[in-house]
Amino acid sequence: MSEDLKKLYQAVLMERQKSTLGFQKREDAQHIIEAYNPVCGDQFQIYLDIENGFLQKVSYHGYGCAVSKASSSLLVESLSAKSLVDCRSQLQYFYQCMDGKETQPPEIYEALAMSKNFPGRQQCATLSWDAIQEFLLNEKGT
Amino acid sequence: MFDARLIRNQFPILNTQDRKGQPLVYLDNAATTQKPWQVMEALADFYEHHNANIHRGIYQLADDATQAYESVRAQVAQFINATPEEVIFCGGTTEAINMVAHGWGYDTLSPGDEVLVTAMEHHANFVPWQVICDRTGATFKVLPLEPDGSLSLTSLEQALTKKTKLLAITQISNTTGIINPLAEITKMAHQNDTLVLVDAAQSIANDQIDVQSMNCDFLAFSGHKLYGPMGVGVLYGKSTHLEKMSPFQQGGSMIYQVSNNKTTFKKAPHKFEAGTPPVAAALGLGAAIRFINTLGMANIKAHAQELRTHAWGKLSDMNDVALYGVALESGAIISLNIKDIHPHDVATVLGEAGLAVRAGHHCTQPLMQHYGIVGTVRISFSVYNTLSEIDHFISALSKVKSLLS
Repeated sequence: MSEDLKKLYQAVLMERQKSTLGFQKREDAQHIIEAYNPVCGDQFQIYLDIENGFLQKVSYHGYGCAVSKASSSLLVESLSAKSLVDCRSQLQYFYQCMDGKETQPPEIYEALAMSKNFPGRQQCATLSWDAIQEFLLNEKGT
Repeated sequence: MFDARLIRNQFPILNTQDRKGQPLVYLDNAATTQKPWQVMEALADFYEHHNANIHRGIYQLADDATQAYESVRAQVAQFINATPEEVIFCGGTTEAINMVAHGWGYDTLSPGDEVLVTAMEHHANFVPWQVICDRTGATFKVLPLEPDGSLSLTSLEQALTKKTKLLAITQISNTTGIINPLAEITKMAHQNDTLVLVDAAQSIANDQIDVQSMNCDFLAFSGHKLYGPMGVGVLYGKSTHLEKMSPFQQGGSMIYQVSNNKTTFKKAPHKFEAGTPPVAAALGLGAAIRFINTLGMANIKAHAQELRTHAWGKLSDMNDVALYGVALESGAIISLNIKDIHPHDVATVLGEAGLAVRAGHHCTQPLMQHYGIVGTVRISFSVYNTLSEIDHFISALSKVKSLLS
């Protein structure tokens, strides 16, 4: 088993992809954001409300691989109760970690960043984040 | 004597290694086959010695290129038991099906007509029909499958009516390897005057195709799934249909006469080959057919069956492995899932062990919906695969569970 493989599928990622925290449908959410990869069929919905410029009641639901599930779970945790400004900073931080530009990223970011060493898998790590980034681009609030 | 180990020597890429020095175990042949040196040599030979545009050059080089290209048309015709006039060169299966959907379908279909496809079709034999029905007002119907993913001939018989103008159906499912009995199916369809288009993308390299005994109206395949180059494919059509069918594309080469007021077209097959065709790739396809003929299709089929039976047996014995399709009499393809593990995670771990497999929906999302899944891990076999490669795959698969469970 290669070291890269062990680093990608390390305990922190496997535990998080199994976690049910934030894994919840919420049809009455103010915003339901679709994260879909037509190549593999992975599909998540991210549910959130925006109250006074803050993201509230953030959750996700859907189907994906271990990497995209863990990453979506991290997104929910990272953006919950954050202001739009903080969310944008968080996204920037996430992508910097994915690009290997953070010297000491937390373990889960490090695991997700390993996906770039495997053909066709980096998009699994960024699927939900890309969808949120596009949503926030159109969301004018600060 | 058929010996996969000796055949491997004809495929240079199979001697390469990955970054970790592991040999390539290529089990993604349903996506594309590897190419023997004869095919690559044919491409190089064309560009080195015969490169000229065909059909209009009044000099020897152009004449040689034209003759070589047309000789492959005759070769393909013989390979599928058609006449050269019924063989149209194009880019591949997708383009071939679109040629019929837009050339025949657009002129022929109208509200009240139906086009029938099965739920096991590749998107290439599904979406063009959906779109052309939408444009013409015809009804697009999808025939549901049995729980195992196979087609019920009784259901098919019931679904075919006088309204059904065309049945678009694959010979071998690119996801499960399930084989459809086309001779019976065309007989059934023709009783209603329904035309039958066969997607032969998976069957062309794995079974002897005889368009006469199959009695299909159209048949499409790609060269690259037949050991040939990418970028060339074939549409076969019965002459009676091709005479009436409009060309999907218009331009140079395919015209008879052009004036400001009117353009007339050549006869088939030339009226369907607008612009410069894939001449070098066609010559590569010719080399690929010679390669197949040397091995013998019966031997190729027997070898694939041996590999599939071996793999299916081993996989059936594994806990938590779900297999899709049927055990016997299937094409050289197996689709599977490991319980609670996403196919892409499986494929990544296998990839690290040097195994090239495919994971995802395989361009058959309606079939995935039939099974109630998003994707599968697919392995597909070819002449150069060996039993020991299958064993390597099984061994690697058993390690996936320990890492990802």
